Amino acid sequence: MKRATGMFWLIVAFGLCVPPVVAIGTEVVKGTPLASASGQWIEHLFQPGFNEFLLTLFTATPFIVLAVFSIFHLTSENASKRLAGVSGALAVGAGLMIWGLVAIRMSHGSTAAIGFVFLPFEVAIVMPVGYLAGRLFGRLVT
Amino acid sequence: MSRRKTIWINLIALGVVLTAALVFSAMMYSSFGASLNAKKLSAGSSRDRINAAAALQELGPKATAAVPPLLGVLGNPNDPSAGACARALREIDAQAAYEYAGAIAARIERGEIALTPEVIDVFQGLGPVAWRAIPLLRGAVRTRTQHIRSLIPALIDMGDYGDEVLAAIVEDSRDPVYSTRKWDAMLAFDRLGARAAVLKPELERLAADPTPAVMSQAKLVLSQLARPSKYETSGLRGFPAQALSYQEYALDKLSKQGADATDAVSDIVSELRSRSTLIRFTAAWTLAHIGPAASRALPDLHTALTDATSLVRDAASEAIRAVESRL
Repeated sequence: MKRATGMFWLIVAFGLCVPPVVAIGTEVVKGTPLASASGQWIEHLFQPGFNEFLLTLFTATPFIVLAVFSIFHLTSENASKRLAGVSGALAVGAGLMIWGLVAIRMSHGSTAAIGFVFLPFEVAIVMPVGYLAGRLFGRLVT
Repeated sequence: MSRRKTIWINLIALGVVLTAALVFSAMMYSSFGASLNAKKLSAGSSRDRINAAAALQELGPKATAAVPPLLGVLGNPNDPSAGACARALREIDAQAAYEYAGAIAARIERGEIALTPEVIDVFQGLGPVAWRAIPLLRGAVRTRTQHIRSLIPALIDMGDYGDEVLAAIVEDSRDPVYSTRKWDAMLAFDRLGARAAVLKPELERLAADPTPAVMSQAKLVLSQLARPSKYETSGLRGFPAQALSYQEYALDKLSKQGADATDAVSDIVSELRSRSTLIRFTAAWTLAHIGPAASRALPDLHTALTDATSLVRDAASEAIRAVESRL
C-alpha cells in the first residue's frame, strides 16, 4: 500500500514539476540567469499569452491519469510485476514529455506553441506502450 | 489500512489539490486578479505596469476596479507604460477611455503637453475611441520632420483612412533606401486592409523592389486585396455570435471595407444593441465608415442617440451625419 501511495504522489508531482523545470531550464540554456528565469516563469503564471499555470495543469493531465490508474493497479495482487509496468509508462511518458517541451520551448517557429495542445495526447498514447515494455522488461529481469 | 480506504484517501486528496488549483486559477482570471494587477500599476516598475496592463486588458470589463489606477498612470501620458494602459482602459471602460482621450487632446491643444511618440502610443492604444483627436495627429503628419513609428499606425487604428494618411504612407514607401520608415510604410499598407486597394499601383511598383522584405510584403498585401471581400463567404460572417475580441476585430475589418461592407449592415446594426459599450460604439463607428451605403441602419442609429454613454451617442451622431452625407 505504501509503495502504491508513494508511486501515486511521485507521478502527480512529476507531472506538475516537469513543465516549470523545462520552462526555466530552457531559459537558462538560452542564457538567462536561473533567478531571472524563475522570476520570469512566476510572472508569466497568469500573464496573457503565457498562462503558465493552466499550461502546467494541462500538460500534467496524462500523468494525473496514470497516477489514478496506478493507485488502483498497484493496490491489488501482483503489485511488484505491475510496478514495472507503471514505471515503464512513467519513463516513456516522461521521456516524450520532456523531449516535446524542450523542442517547443527551444523552437524559433511562431507556431511551435501549438505543440502544447497535442503533447499531452501524444504522451497519453505512448504510456500504454511504455507500460507493456515495462512489464516485458520486468519479466526478463526476474 | 484497507485497499479501498487507501484508494479513496489518495483520490480525494488529489481532487482537493486539483480543485484548489483550478479555483485559484479562476480567481486570478476574475476581479481578484484584476485588483492584484491594479496594485502593480500603482507600485510596480514600468515593466510591471506594462505586464499588469496587458493582463487587465485581457480581463476586459471584469477589471473595472483597475480604472482609477489606470487613469492614475495615464495622468502622465509620457510614462513608458501609458500605451499599454490606454489599451487596457479601452477594453475595460470605453466611456472612461473616451473621456480621457478628450481630456488629453485638450491638454495638448492648450500646450500643457507635447505630442511626443509616447503620447502618440497612447492614442494608438485608445484606437477608434480617440477618433476626435484625428485632426491633432493629422497635423503632426503634416509637420513631421522625423519618422515617428507609431504615428501612421495610430491614425489608421483611430479610423483615419483619408488622403493625407495614404499620401504619407506612399511618401514613406518611396524612401530610396531600405529603412525603418520604408518598412513601417509596408506594414501600414497591411494595416489599411481593404482601404489599400486605392494604392494598388504603388503596391505593384513595390512588388518589384530590390529589397526582398519590401517585395514580399507588397506581394502579400496585393494577394490579400485580390481575395473577394464578400461578407457572406468570408470568415467574418456571423461575427456577433463570436467572442467580444473577435467582434471588435470584425468591425474594424468591415470599417476598412467601406461601402463594400453593405452586406454586413444587418449584423453591424445588431451590434448597436450589444451589452458592451465598446462594441456598440465600434458598430456605430463602422457604420460611419460604410457611409451612405448603410442607409438602412438609420433608424437604429437614431435609437442609439439615446444610449446611456456619450461615446455611443456621439459615434451614432457622427455615423448619421456620414450616412446622410450623400443621400
